[in-house]
Amino acid sequence: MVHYKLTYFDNRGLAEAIRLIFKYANVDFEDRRITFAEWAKIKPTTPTGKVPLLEFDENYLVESAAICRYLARKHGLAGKDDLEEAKVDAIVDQNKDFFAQALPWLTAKFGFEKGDEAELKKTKLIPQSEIYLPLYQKYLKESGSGFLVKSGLTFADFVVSEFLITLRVEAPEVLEKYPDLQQYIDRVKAVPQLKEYYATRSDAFNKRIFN
Amino acid sequence: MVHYKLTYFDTRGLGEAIRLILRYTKSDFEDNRITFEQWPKIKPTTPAGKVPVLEFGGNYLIESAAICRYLARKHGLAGKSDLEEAKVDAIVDQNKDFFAQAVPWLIVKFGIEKGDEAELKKTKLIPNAEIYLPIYQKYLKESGSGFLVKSGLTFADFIISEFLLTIKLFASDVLEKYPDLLQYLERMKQIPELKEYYASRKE
Repeated sequence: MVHYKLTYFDNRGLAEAIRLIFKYANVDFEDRRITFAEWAKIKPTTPTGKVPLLEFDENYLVESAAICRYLARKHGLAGKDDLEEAKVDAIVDQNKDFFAQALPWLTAKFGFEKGDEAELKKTKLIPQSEIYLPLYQKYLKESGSGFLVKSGLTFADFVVSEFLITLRVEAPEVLEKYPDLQQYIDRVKAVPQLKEYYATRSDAFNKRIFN
Repeated sequence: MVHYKLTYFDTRGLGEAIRLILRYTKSDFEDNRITFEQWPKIKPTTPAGKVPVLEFGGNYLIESAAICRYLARKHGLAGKSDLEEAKVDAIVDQNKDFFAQAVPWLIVKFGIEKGDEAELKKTKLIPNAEIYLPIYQKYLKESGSGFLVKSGLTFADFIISEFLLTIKLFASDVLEKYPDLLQYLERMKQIPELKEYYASRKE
């Protein structure tokens, strides 16, 4: 049996979707969570100076979406045919763009970059959420499955729902206008294989990583 | 045979890697190039208000990397094992980050937006080039194939080489420090199935 080791900060961030795939598939993994202080020492030892990093046997993988897709393909979570796989990939890339746009606001809110949080929310988060949140609602409506694509749960749901959860925690009024998305988050959290994990895990940002 | 229609602007940009895959694989495709003047009318008719869009057989695909991967997987251009596929995906995502960092400089250099090009080059392009270009050199060195991964040409090469070409054309001093990458660009342009296309296309 493969021994996986996932290294990331002690937060949901870009690694949580990976953790969810492991948990959903009931695959054991070492969930190595580091602080920023530890990161300074570890960073030069990593292949590309970034986390998440997945190591197993003599191999390593970087880039959260690539890691998700690699694991998802092994566990029927990548889409049920080539077209659907491309749709899943597209949704994940769209979310990456949304996330990248919102990041200046998020890092100011979390306190690890300077910035006017209210101003950034107005100029960065809100306009982008007005583009992407209706798009996610449309995907849910079109799929008919309760998840983002027709065949059901895929890694796109883990990636997107985690970011929506962050919005729900950090800017709840933004998500309030999208009841379908609120229900969607709850639906992902009710997936039988993950219900217990979600119940015990915190959605809030963990500031102890700054220690 | 599937007939594809690719809609994108009349530039290389995010559409060119897709064009290269379609040409390399001798696929039947319509290269629907639109102007910036046409875009406001076309935008609302697209699935998500963005191009590139690939249409075929009643289906459509969006997002350049997703489109590349879909086509690549049908033609052995996505990597030769699941591990290599993940490596290809990782390189493409790293380039997306590099590109996203450089975009503020690029749009000013292209004249799409106003700004201090020299300042943006110094603060946006150069620090990121110093992170990513050595990583690309490392991949080439490790693969031993002349391309980014061990088994040879993949869609990661089309995506990365196109961005390196843009850097070469618009900030040649930045790429000059990386002779391996300059050679890599030449190697791409010599691919037999694409040699003629590269020689005749505008950059």
